[in-house]
Amino acid sequence: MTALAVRPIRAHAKPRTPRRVEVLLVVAVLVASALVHAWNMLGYPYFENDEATYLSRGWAFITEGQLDVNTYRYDHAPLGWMFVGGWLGITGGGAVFGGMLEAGRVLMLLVHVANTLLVYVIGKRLSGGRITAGMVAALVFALSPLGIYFQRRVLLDNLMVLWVLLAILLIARRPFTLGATIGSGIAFGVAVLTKLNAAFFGLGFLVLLWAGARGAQRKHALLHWLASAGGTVLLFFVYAMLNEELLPAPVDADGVPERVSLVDTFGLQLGRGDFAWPWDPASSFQQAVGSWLVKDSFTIVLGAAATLALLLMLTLRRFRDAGTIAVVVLVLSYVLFLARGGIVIDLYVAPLLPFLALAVGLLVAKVTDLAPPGGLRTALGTTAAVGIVAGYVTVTDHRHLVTDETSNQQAAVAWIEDEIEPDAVIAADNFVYPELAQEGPYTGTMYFFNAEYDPELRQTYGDDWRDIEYLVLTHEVLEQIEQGTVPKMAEVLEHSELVASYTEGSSSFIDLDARISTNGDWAQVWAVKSRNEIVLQDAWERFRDDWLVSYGQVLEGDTGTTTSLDQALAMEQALAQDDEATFRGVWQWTSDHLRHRENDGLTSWQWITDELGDGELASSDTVCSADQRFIGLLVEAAEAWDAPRLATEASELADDWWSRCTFTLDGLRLVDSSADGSVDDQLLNPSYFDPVLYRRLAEALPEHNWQRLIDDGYAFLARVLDERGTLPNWVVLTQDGELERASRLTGKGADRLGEDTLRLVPVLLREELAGEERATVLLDGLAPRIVAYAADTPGLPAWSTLGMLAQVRDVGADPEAVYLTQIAAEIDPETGTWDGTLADFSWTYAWHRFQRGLPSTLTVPLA
Amino acid sequence: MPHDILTGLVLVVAVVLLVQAVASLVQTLYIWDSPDRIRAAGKPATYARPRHGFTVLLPARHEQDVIGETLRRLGEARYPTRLVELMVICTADDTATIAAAERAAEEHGLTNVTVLVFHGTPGKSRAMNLGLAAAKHDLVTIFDSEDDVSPEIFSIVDTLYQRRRIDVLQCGVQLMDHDSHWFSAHNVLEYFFWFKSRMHYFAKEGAVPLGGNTVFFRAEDLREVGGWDEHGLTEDADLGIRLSIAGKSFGVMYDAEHVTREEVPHSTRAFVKQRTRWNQGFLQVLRKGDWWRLPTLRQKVLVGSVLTAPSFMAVVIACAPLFILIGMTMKLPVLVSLLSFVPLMLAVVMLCTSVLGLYEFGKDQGIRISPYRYLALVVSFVPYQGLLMVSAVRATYRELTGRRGWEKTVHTGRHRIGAQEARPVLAPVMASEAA
Repeated sequence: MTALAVRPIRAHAKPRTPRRVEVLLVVAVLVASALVHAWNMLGYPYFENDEATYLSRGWAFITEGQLDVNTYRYDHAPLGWMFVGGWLGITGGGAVFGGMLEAGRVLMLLVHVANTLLVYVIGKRLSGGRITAGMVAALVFALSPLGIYFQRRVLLDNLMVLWVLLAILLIARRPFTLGATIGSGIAFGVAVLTKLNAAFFGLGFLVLLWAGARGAQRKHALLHWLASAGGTVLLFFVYAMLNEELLPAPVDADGVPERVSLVDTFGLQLGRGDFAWPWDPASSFQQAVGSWLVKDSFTIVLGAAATLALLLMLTLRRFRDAGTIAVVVLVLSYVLFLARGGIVIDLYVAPLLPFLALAVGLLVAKVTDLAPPGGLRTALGTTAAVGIVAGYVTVTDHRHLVTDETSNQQAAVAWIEDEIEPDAVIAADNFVYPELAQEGPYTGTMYFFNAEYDPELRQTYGDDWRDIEYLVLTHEVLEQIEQGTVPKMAEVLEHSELVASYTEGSSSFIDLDARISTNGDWAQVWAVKSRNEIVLQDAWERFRDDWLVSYGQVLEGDTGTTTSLDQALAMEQALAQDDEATFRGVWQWTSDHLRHRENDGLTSWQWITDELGDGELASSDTVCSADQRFIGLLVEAAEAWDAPRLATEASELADDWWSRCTFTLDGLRLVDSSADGSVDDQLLNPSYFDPVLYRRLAEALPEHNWQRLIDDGYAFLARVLDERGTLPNWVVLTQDGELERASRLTGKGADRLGEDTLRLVPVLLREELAGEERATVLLDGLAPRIVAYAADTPGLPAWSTLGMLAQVRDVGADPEAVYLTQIAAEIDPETGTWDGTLADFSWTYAWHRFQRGLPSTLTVPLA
Repeated sequence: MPHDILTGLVLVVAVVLLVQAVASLVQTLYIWDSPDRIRAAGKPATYARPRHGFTVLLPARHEQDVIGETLRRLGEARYPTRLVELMVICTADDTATIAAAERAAEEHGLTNVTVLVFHGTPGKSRAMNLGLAAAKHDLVTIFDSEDDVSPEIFSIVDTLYQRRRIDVLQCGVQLMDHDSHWFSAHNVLEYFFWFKSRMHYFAKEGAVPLGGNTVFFRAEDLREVGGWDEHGLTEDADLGIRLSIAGKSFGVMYDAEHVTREEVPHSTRAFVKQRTRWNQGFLQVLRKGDWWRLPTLRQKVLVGSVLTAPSFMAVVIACAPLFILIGMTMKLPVLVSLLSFVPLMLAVVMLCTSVLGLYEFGKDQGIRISPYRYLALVVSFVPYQGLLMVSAVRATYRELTGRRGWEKTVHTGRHRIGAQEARPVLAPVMASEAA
């Protein structure tokens, strides 16, 4: 090393400053450090997912001897949370500080003060005993808002820094002993096992060792530092090996690893994020630097400038002393790690801060060294320290002292405790975990990441995300969903309804659809929908993807027919799924293409699209059941989305419909099959009778006599059933009030019970459930016919109808068996919905649609 | 329940091995801990004006072939002749040796040679006790007739006695031929670490099992504790313990240039016999129980552990198959397994230290060590531990079966009454891998 002429770290020269003064200064800095850290430390920053992860693991360690609350996956080395667990053990979990999160933050306060002291002592040692270097370094370390942001959080990095600083202090002490070297090695090993990225400081240690040891001692020092550090770290790998969790895990037939594996996990983590050169503006490194500069440009710029200045001094062969080299190497090797091209998480900066602070401290000491010892030098040092304090007071922002980021989170937890049963299955941002599951009775609470991946935990909810009941959504969860790391949680969120939202005062820009959140100071609780609703939601997605073209046309395939009934089906689903844009699109398309009748605003029923994509109206006739559905849908939509214009349209359409689609004959007000202008004999479709709808319209549009329509409809159907013994698809009512066969008008099958008749069944069942006796009478007569029909004409229409019928009435069929063999069997497990045609869809849809609002005693468990 | 007992057993053994490995490492590295210690362990930079007189005891039996050469070399010492007495001690019937000694004195003009003749049973310890009674100088020392002693040794020792408060001074002895046998390097390193570092640790603690030569005493101290024990195999270790009990202060000096140079045993068989003898000697000292009178618990533990180390290793070896069986058939708690892994790691650290020691030895002595030697050192590490274990088991067996005599080394061709061997205390480092 003589060739490089490195001056060893000087043993302390005779102190110029009296010991008492130094102690007072240090105490003052420590008190300041503690105050700035502690002020508002429970309010800012928001409780991050990882904090609770380490706390809950620490608690699991101290109470159950487990390294994780669930299966330990080797995602981090465990010493950090073992340490945290020890603290929780001493302080009784959350008992002393009102919660584990709070206890964790108090621990971080203690760690921070200890780290500040260590930074001071190391700064002083490495500068050869200059108090100025220690003071300046400690001030920068204590006052940096960027530091405070991460140092308040219960992060492994803060604990790791403690061990790294301790390890440095041990070999910076004079005299340099092998005992201290071995202690330093073990401390460094512990640092690495607290957070693995401590390893990147290793190079700086080699410099300190080389410079600290002399002669024959040097090789022993290097050997035993490496052996004690390496040995300590090795124990972690031995631990994995003894658990038979070291080597890559064998995979089962589905390609799923059969156990956890350290090597697998490390490989996965090393592969995180895409490689990008650090000078690429889109690289993770540059993005992180950008976010650090936003939080605290003062410290970053100051530290970087000091490091560069020291580096310059080293190359100019002045001040070539070991302390300076070590600090520069410590900073640069860690920066190289950050700039390696892989993923850089914001908090990665935390371990760098003490060394940036030390660089600033050493630089100030070097510069003031230019002045002769005595008053001038002291004055320069004092000025620098005061200047740095002034810089932090004036330049950086002080939100860490005033901003409240945690109230929303705490409100969300309180809401869960008030509103949700303790045995509920909850996937959550981990910040709720300690309070709900470890301090509270919510044993079904799962860290969302574990819920996604932990094999044992997945067993507890049958590995079926639909059986998760609630999702506690936060910035972190949303971010993971956005990154695609937790596909099940994405499904959960997609199939949930917001039940509690705490975003008041949040500084975050939140766009859930785009999966964007910019800060974590908010929390929401989402309730997972029922299985039936999940099926309906997926069905709607399939419908929209496969059959909705242009801006709102339902079209199966590239060519073919679009009907007004299909359009109504689309709008009904859009309304139920709260998809206003699609609803409006479909209605717009319907209005644009199907409403060109001369005398009324009713919809024509058929549109044909040819191979070229051109279309034309194939029939201007209306289907009255379609129009009545449009009226109902518009009424509902107007209310759901507070859209008076839709209400007006509904009203206008209802006026036309009432005058054109209903008629009075034989003293009965009945619904026509079509406003086709036929005047003599009326062709009627019994299934157009929809008393459920009419009751709803009676409230919304009282200007028409809907009750009469209901009463007369029932009377008419009772007569048909009475005369025919069944309800046919079609029936003709002559001017004389006679019932005639309809087959001459609509073809074969018109006079038999058929698919049209089946459409009436769910409506009558609802009426019966609501206590309508006339429906009961009708169903009594109809049910045996339907059972017979299902036997003669098996198929989705018959089975789905029979399924519904069997749920409400005893017809000799098991509703669950019918569901499982006929309805559920249609569902493709990949897409969660049906692959069949649009016609098939309408039947399975009808079955699931019928489940909605069915008393729970009548429902069947869904597959 | 047996599972718990076995687990507890493994735990205890692991902890004992761990403590032993740590203690061994601490002692081995003692001197390198700080630069001050390294400095203090060497020879003084300047020599004081000679003040102390030395009586060199040379107990001999049928050594007519070598005694002349020994006297000649000692006569070359750079120290005033009047302050050195070379005392050859032998039985009256050993006329050849007496004649050879007198002839040599005349031939080389040595005026300070005396020949002490005694009657009765020959015995090394007895000879030395008689020599002690007749010694005319205040410092007494012992050399082996085959030793290559530094001519400056008396000046160094005299200076240290003048400058420091020392009652007993052990000077470095070093085996030199690190490449003569497959086990040589390990044997050399035992001496290297023992005299360069570990002995300083024992001296600091005031409890030293002494080596057999290049050790200096005050004659009055020896008389105070009653001289050498005439019945043991390792009377020198025994003497060290009694001097420790008497509260004498110990000094150690190791200087690469001024070590007393010796050679490793000339065969594996000779090595085993020598080591068996030492180990058995320790057991005898242990049985004698003097060590229990050491003033502090720390000293008792220290000396007790040194004396029992070889037997302890023998027990561990005897139990090794059991531990291997336990390790293979039972699922032990991971933490217990983890703990039992630590001594193994420390054994590796010890091996690395040995490699470094070999390098330093070469540098100290100006010998070029070829890279192959380092490799050989690593490869022979385990077999060497095996050799130590065999010796330990033999010693225990012999002591238990009451065979307390010397094992004659057949092919020396000489009937020596026992070389004055400088003996490092064993440092078994092989941890039980079974657990």
